[in-house]
Amino acid sequence: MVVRRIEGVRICGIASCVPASRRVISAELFADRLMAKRFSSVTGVKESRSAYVQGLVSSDLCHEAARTLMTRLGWSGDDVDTVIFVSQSRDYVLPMTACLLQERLGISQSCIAFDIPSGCSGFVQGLAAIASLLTGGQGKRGLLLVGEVNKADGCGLDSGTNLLFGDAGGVCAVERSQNASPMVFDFGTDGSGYKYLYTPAGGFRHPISCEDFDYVEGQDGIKRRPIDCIIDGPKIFEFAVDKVPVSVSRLLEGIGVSVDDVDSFIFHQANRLINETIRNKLKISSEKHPYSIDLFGNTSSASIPLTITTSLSRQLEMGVNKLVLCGFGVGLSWASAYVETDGICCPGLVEI
Amino acid sequence: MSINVFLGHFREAVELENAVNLTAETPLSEVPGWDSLAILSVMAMASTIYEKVIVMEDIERCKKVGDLFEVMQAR
Repeated sequence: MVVRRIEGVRICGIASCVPASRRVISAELFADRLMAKRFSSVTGVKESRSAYVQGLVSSDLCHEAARTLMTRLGWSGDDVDTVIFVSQSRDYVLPMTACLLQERLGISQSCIAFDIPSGCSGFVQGLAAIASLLTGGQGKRGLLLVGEVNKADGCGLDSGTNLLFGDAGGVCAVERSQNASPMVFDFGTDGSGYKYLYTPAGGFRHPISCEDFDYVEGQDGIKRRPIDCIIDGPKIFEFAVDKVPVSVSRLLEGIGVSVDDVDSFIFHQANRLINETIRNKLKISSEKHPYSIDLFGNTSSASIPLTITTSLSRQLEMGVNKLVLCGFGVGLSWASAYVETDGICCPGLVEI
Repeated sequence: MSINVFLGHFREAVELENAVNLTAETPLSEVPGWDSLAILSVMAMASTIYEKVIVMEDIERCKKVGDLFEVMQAR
């Protein structure tokens, strides 16, 4: 396993958008006070945003974030030739949502646009994909759009899991630039754990039938339908605290950079307990590991841009920043990146 | 590492009320609200306080709170 380098691509800007509708996590949402207390200390979620009540989907949030960022950068649609949309909540079964975003954002027809249906690892995987297309595919400018929205009952009657997730969209603008510092990546995939975070029904392996709308009690006593997402929290914890520290350490060793040399570690916001355990294992000081989960929940692939927008925008707008990004989760998969940014455009959080 | 200190950490991890009695002999199934969030909290406690990794397989083998302590010491 070697770290991979991509040369000649720079990040120009990052923006994020959330729905205005707030969902405050209160004790009444849980079966009892102990559950409420435990949810709060394990996840750290105090409130989140909900797109569903406003009739918004991931691409709407990504579209607003991208429009704001393109205006600030002075980019027109004709400047963009590469579009990637990372999401598990696409507009339609067919076609790919990236095609709809090409039209909505007024991007030139001579572009390549496609979806990557990844989740929590998706921002870093998407960054590697778009950077590769710009270097290997001779593109000039690209937009990486990442977003997730959830149904209120997307995990059945598993209220704890339903309340963990929040809705958000983000965008990262990249361009080919000879002077750019290399981006360095470490990737991992372990499909043997796919059942620890999955939705049984709705794909071609298990097409939806009428019975898939009936609730069935699981081993944990929680009622779910086969169309709902199941998360095995302890198994995901085991996976994340095992793989992420190793991946980040290998990345830093590969380029000869120490934890102390890095300005900020922006990790996927899984839950506070997982992130704190990873942070302690890697001996990262708390001020270098910002959170967005407290106010926005676990926002899947949007968590890294959202954390940047809400915690680091002023820092990233000025001078050079050495950043480590890491996404991990559904797949199971994980992806870490080391990037150096130099005065990038970071508009404030967009709310619609 | 003593069992009493461990019981204190366990109480804290699963957020037991002071009134709840807990000993090494308490069956895990009788710990109030022993669910996946509680298991997660215990795993994180083991990792952060004792720097020990306990996995689901370990926990599934345990019947009593004291068994967890044994498992962790063996790691």
